[in-house]
Amino acid sequence: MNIGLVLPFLMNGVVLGLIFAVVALGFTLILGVMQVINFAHGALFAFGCYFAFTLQRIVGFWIALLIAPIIVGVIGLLLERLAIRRIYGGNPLFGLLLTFGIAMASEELIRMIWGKPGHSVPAPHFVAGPINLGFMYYSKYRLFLAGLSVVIILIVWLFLEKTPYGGVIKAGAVDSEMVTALGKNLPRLRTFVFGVGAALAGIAGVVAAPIWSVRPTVGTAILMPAFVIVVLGGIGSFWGSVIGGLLVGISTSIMVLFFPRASDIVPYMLMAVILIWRPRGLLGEKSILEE
Amino acid sequence: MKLKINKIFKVLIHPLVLVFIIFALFPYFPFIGKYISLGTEVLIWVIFALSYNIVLGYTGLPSFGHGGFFGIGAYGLALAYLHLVKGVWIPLLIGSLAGGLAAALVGLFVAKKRGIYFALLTVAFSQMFFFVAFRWDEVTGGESGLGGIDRLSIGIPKLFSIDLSNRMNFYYFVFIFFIICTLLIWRIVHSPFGKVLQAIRENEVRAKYAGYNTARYKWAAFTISGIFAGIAGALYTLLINSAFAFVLDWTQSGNVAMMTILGGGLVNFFGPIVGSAIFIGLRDILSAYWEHWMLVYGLAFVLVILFMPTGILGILGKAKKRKVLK
Amino acid sequence: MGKVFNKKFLRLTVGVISLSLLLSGILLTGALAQEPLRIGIISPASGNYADHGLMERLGMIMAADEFNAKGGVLGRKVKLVVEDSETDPSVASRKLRRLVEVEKIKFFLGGVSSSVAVAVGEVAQRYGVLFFATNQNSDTITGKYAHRCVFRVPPNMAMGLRAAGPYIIENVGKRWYFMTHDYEWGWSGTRWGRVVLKEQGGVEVGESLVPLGTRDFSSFLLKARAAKPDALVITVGGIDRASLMEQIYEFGIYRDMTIVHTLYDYEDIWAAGPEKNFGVHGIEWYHGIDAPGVKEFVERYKKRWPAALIPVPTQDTVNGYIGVRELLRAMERAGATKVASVIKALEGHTVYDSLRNGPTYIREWDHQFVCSFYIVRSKKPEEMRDRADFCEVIGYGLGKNIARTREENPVKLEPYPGE
Repeated sequence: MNIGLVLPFLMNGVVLGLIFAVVALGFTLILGVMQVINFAHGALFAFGCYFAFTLQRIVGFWIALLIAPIIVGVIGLLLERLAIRRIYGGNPLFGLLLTFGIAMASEELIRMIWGKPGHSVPAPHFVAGPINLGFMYYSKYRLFLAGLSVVIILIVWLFLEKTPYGGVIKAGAVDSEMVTALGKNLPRLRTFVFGVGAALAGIAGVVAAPIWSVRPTVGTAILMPAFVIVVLGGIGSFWGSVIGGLLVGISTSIMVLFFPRASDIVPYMLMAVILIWRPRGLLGEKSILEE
Repeated sequence: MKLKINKIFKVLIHPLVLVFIIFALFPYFPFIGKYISLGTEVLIWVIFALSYNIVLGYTGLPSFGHGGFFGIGAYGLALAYLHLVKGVWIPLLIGSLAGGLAAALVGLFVAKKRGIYFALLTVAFSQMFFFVAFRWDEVTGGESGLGGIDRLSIGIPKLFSIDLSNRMNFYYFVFIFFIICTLLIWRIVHSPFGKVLQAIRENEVRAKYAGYNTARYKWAAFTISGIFAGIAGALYTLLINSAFAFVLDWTQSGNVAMMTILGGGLVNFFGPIVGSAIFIGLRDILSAYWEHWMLVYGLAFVLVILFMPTGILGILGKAKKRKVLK
Repeated sequence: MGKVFNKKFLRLTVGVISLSLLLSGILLTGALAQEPLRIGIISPASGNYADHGLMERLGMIMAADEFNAKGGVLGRKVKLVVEDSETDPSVASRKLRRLVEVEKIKFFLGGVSSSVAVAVGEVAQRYGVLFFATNQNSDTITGKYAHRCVFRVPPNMAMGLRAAGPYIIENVGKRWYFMTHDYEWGWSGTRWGRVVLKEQGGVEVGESLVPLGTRDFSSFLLKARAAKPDALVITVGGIDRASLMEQIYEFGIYRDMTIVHTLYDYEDIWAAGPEKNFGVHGIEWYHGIDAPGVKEFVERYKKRWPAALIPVPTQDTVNGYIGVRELLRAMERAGATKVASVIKALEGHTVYDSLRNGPTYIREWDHQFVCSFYIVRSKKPEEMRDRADFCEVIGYGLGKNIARTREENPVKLEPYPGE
C-alpha cells in the first residue's frame, strides 16, 4: 500500500469533507438556534446546484457563485417567515415533518422546472481538466474547490467570532433562550440564521455541481451525511461541523479504497462509536436541546 | 332486561366494533371493493401506524425511523421463507421478532434521549438499516431485493386448508391480524403501563420524580411498537411477494408519521386508522392522475403540520385532552 | 350513556362517511371503457432513469399511433395507460396490481431498471398477465427470473459482450480493468466480460465495484489507473454514468487507457456532452446504422417529436417501438387478446423489419428477442456531422451468433396462464 495510491483518496476525502462541512455548518446553526431539524437542507443544496447550472450559462461561473447562494438564502428567509416560524417550541417531529414536506415538494418543483433527467455541469474553463502534480494526475477543479471551501469556512468563522452579531448567533446556537434574556430580537435572529444556513447549503451546491452533476435527487444524498456530521460533531458547534465533516469525508473516501460497498455506512458507524464515547458529539455542549 | 339491551348496544356501537365491521365489509363495497389489494395494503399500514402511535401519540417520542422496523420485519419474513422454512406462520413470527429485536437494539441507544436528539438518532439508525439492506447483496438482494416469496396455504392438515395466494383469502387473513393487533394495542395503551407512557409524554421529569424509570418504559414502548411494526412489514412482504430496500427508506418513516398525524393520532386512538385509509387511498388516486403528484404530497405535509396538527379526528371531535395518570 | 352515544358515535359516523366518500373516489379510476384495447406502460418518469423512460415511451406511442392510423388492433383502438414506476420496485408492483385489479389491463411494457423489471415480472406471472421488459439488459429477466408471462426486447449483456468483446481484444488490448455497477446489471456485464476475456486469451488486471448512486468516481478511477490496463471496461449506467464520464475527463483517465462502455446508452452520452465522449463501445442500436428502415424511422421520429429532449431516437425508443409493435402484431396473428394465445403467437416468431441488420427472433424457451448488437467508436467533437452524431458504427454481431445457448442458460418456463 504505497503512498501514491492512498494520497489521491485522502485528497478526495478532504475535498468531500470540506463540502460536507459547509453544508453541515448551515444545518448545525439552524438546529442550534431554532431547534429545527431542517430536512429541507438538502433541497436548498439542490437549488444551489440547479441555479448554478442555469446561471452559469448566462453569466458565467463567478457571478453565478455570487448570485445563486443569495437566491437560495432568500428562499430560506421566505420559508422561515411563512412556514417554519409557526412550529417553534413544539414537538420536534413537527419541524422534521414540515421540512420533510418542503423537501419533497421542492424536489418535485425542481423536476417540473428543470426536467427529470440529470444534467452535467461543466467546470469553469480555467480549472477544467486534469493537472499534472508530478507523481499523478489530479483534478484541477477539486483543488480549486478545496480552496474555495476553505475560504467560505473562514468567512463564516470570522463572522461568528469577530462580529458582534456573529457572537449572538454563536451564543444562540447553544442556548437560544439566553439570547432573548440578553435583549436581542430572537425572531429576527432566527430568520437571519435560517437565511444564512440556506445560503451555505446553496453555495455548497454551486461549488459541488461540476463534480457531482445535477439531478433532482441530489438533495437527499447530501442530507444524511449532514445529519450524521452534526450529531457526531456536536449540535451547534462550528468546529464540530468542520472536523466532523472532514472526518466523515476522509473516512468515506478511504473506505472506498478498501471496501467500497461499506462506504455509505461509514458515517453511521463513526457516529455510533463517537456517541458511545462522547454522547453529545465530539464538541457538543449541554444545551436546551436536551430538555 | 333493559339493562342487558343497553349493555349489548354499548358494545355494538363501540368504535372498535364499527371499524371492524367496516373493514370486514370492504370487499363488498361498490366500485372500490374489487381493488382488494388496496384494502389489504390499508390494513397493513393501519397496523404499522397504530404501532407507531404507541411511541408518538402515547409516549410523545418523535421517532422518525420507524420505517426501519417495518422494513426489518419485511426482510425477516423474506429471509426466513427463503432460507429456513417455506411456510406462513414461522416466517411471520420471525419477521415480527426481527422488528422487535431491531427496535430493542435501537431503543438501547435512544431511550435515554428526548426531543431533537431522539429524532436525529432514529433517522440515523433507520438510514443505516437502509444502506445495509441496499448494499448487502448476498443477503438482501441489494437493489433487486428478494423475490419469489409465495403465499402458501394455512390450515389443519386433513381438515381444511385456505390458500392465501387468493387475494380475498389473504385480505381476511390480514384482517384477522388487524383485529388482534388493534385489540392488543388498545389494551396496552389503556393499561397502567399505557398510563405511565402518557405521563412520560406530558412531563417526563415529573414522571421520574414520581418514581418511574422512564428510560425503561420508553425502551419498552419502543420495543413493543417494533414488534407490531415487524408484523406489518412481514405481512407487506407477503402482499407483494418480495422484499425491497425501499421499504426501509426514510420516506416510509415520513409516510407513517404523516398518516398517524393526519388522522388525528396525537389525540385519538383511531387517528392512525383514519389517516392510513385516507393517505393510501388518496396517494393511489393522485399518482394515477398527475405525474407531479409529489408536489401535492409535500404540500399536504406542510399544510397538515401548520394548520391541523390534531388531525382529522382532532378537528371533528374537538378532542378533549387525554387523561393523565388516572 | 346518552352522551357517549352522541359524541363518539357522531364522530365516527362522520369519519366513516368521509372515508367511504374518499375511497369511492377511486370509482373514477374504475370507470372502464370497454372498447379500446388498453395497454399498461410502467416506465420511470422520475428517479435515476427518468430520461430513459421518456425515450422509450416516445417509441411506444409512435407504434400505438401507427396501429391506430390503420384502424387499431382486431377492430379496437389502442390506448396506452402510462404509470410512473419511480424507479422503485415496490411502487411499480403496486401500480401493476392496481392496473390489473381495477383497470383490468392484461398487457404491460416497461421496466428499465432491473429491480423494477424483476418485481413487475414476478407480479405479472402471478396474475397471469403479459409483461415486456423493454429496456432491461441484465441476465436475470430471461434467466433466473424468466417467466412464461415475461418477454425481453433488448439484447442482454451476454450478447453485448460476445459482440463487442472480441473486437476490443483485437483492437484495443488484452489487459482489462472492470468497472462494475454493484447490482445485478453491472455484474452481468462483468461476468460476460470475464467469459469473453478467457475465451480470447485476455487478462483481468482488476475490478472496482461501484455502488449504485455513486456520484464521485474519482477514487475508483485512480485505482484503475494504478493497474495500467489497456481497456477500462465499464458497466455503469443511468445518471451515474454521466458523472463517471464527466470525471474520466476531469482526471484525464482517457489519456492512459481506452474507455469501453459495454452498453453505451445514448441518453447518457447526450447528458455528458461531446467533450466527454471517448473510446470504443458496445451499443444496442444507434440512429446512424446502415440497416433497412432505419432512416425512415429516424425521420418519422423527428416529425412526430420535433421538440423532444433528444433530437434522434435512441435504443430505448426503438425497443419501446418494437415492443409495442410486436405485441400488437402478435395479437393480430393470434386473432385474440387472451394472454396465453398472444404468448404462443410470439414464441418462435421472426421479425424481419427489425430496424437492425439481420432479423430478430423471439426465442420460445427463454423469451429473449434475439437480435443484433453493435460496436461503435466515439467521435471527437470536430468529427461530428451534427450535434447528435456522437459515434461511428464499426460493426455488429448477428443475434444468433451471440445469444446464450441453452447450456449457458438453462431456463424452465411455467405452463401457459389459464392452462
